Amino acid sequence: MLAELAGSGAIPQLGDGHARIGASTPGFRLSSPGWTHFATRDLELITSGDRLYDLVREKLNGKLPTFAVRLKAFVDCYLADAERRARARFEGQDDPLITADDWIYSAFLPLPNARIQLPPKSFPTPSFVELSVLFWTGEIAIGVQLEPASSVIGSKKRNLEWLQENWPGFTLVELPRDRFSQAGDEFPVELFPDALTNFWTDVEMPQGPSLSGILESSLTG
Amino acid sequence: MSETLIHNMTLIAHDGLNGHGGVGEGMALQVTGKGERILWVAHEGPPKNFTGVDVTDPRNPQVICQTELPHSNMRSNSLEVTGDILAVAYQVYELGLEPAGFELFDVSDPRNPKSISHYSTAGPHSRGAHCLWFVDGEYVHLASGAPDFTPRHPRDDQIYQIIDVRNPSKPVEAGRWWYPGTREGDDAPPPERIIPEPLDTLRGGDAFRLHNANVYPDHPDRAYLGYIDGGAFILDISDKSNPTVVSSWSPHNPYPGFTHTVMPLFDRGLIVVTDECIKDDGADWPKLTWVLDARNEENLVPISTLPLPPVEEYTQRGGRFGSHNLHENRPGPSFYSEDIIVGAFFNAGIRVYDLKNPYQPECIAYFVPPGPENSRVPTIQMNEVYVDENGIVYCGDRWAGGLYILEMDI
Repeated sequence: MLAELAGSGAIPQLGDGHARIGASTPGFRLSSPGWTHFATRDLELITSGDRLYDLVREKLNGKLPTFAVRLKAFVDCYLADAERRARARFEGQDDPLITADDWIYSAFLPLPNARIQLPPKSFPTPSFVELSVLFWTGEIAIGVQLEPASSVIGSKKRNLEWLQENWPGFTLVELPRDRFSQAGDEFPVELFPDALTNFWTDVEMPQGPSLSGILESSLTG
Repeated sequence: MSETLIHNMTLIAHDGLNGHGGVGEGMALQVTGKGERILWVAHEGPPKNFTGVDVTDPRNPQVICQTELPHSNMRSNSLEVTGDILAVAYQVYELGLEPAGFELFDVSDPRNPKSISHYSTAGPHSRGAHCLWFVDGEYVHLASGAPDFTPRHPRDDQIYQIIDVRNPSKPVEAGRWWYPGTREGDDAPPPERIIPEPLDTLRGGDAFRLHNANVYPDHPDRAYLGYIDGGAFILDISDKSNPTVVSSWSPHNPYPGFTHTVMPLFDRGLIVVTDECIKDDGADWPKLTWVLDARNEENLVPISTLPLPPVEEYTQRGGRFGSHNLHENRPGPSFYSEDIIVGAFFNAGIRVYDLKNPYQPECIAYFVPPGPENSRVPTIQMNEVYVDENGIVYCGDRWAGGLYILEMDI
């Protein structure tokens, strides 16, 4: 996933393989339009709310590199934790129209294998910060590094340090292997800002995944 | 070749190790209680046992300790250090000689190593230990003959042995495994030889024995074995007294054998496997470094090899050309990467690979110095490599060049 630190423009803020983040860019959530497209045949398979979340998970997994066992385990773990958290917070509430299932899609969207392009003004040759995952909450960016920071090679380290110095809203979370190493491990909630895990804060009305792709494909036949 | 070929690396120091610059297959870094950083270096052959180099300032290495072997009919080709305990492998040149096996040293005072214990594997069919792996402070994983092991073929003598050293003064065997059919009395038939060679020499190829066994503390139930002509093995060692095969993979034949290192990249579901070049002038080419898809550990699939410079050119330069040791991502003061692979490739020097796209590995840095003085061959023969947690690369020439210290500019 390629991320740019830039304002709005002709290119959508969130696309299938890129994201543009500016000061006024709203947080990227599972419900945000653009990061994936659903086909009509996708919806034919959905027979329950659980199956829709499975489909979102599959779409996200499809964006992972082929050889990314630990990254896949982390993304799966994050999604499972978000679902658990939404249910714990909203299940049993007396709202006939909005259920816990609806809140799940307000979880922040993990942008896996993120490459943040650094500003050409400061970096004449194309330069990137490489992160295992990037989250954008609308106020802060949370970068997740699965690789031990002490072994990040020089050029990557320099770019990362530049980003940390020049983007006050950027937080780096280094994930030690003894805290998260494989599928089945618990989500390391204590390492992340509350803004990530209490994702329902500031959401007035939860939305489901954007189905704009289906509309487009229907219109274009 | 008199010029240095270098790309994206900087040579920051070179030390001839007091004229004993033949470096074996062991390098390990100790950080002492006083904060000194000591690089322990194994030697290719006698008379030296091991050398300690203070690399606290890697631009100014200082030899602080150099020990002698008990006799010249042996070598200590491999070593590892964990905490303040140094483990050194002993291999003899004639069956039955002592000392064979390994010795543990207390190196809390690195200028004055003190022997803790010697674990003997000497026996009528044993030449002792060629390589060992010791990274958790608890178990030595050993490629060695054993007093009670009778191989069907004399070069199939060194088997996988797990030695419990939790009490370092009294090491005890916890388990062993060998290639089925290689022990006298096995039910399995003996393996078909890959490239049969005369039986009158113990050293060399045409062997179904262990070279390296890698076991990582965060995956303690798996051992990754380079079993020379037998290829790569993954063993389940959750019960150390009864290792069992999870899977294996071998390109031999048509490829000419000598699997050396099997290094897992757990986070990605990959394994890197080297086949060691053991003959000069390209006589056993191709000796490649293979990348395996190990997402399903029971079905290992080769997907690429690390690219090398032109074989037509390098096999004419003299000495060995091809794969050998890798930096093995061991715990401790050590570089850990599943994207960047650093290896020693004899006359092709030290080479650094970007494995981001494992279907198309790229060489992103290299260092090929001129052949050192007093070497047996006209080229450098990079034999071993270790990268510390700061990205400093320590590497050694097999015959005479000693220790080279580099920075990676990547």
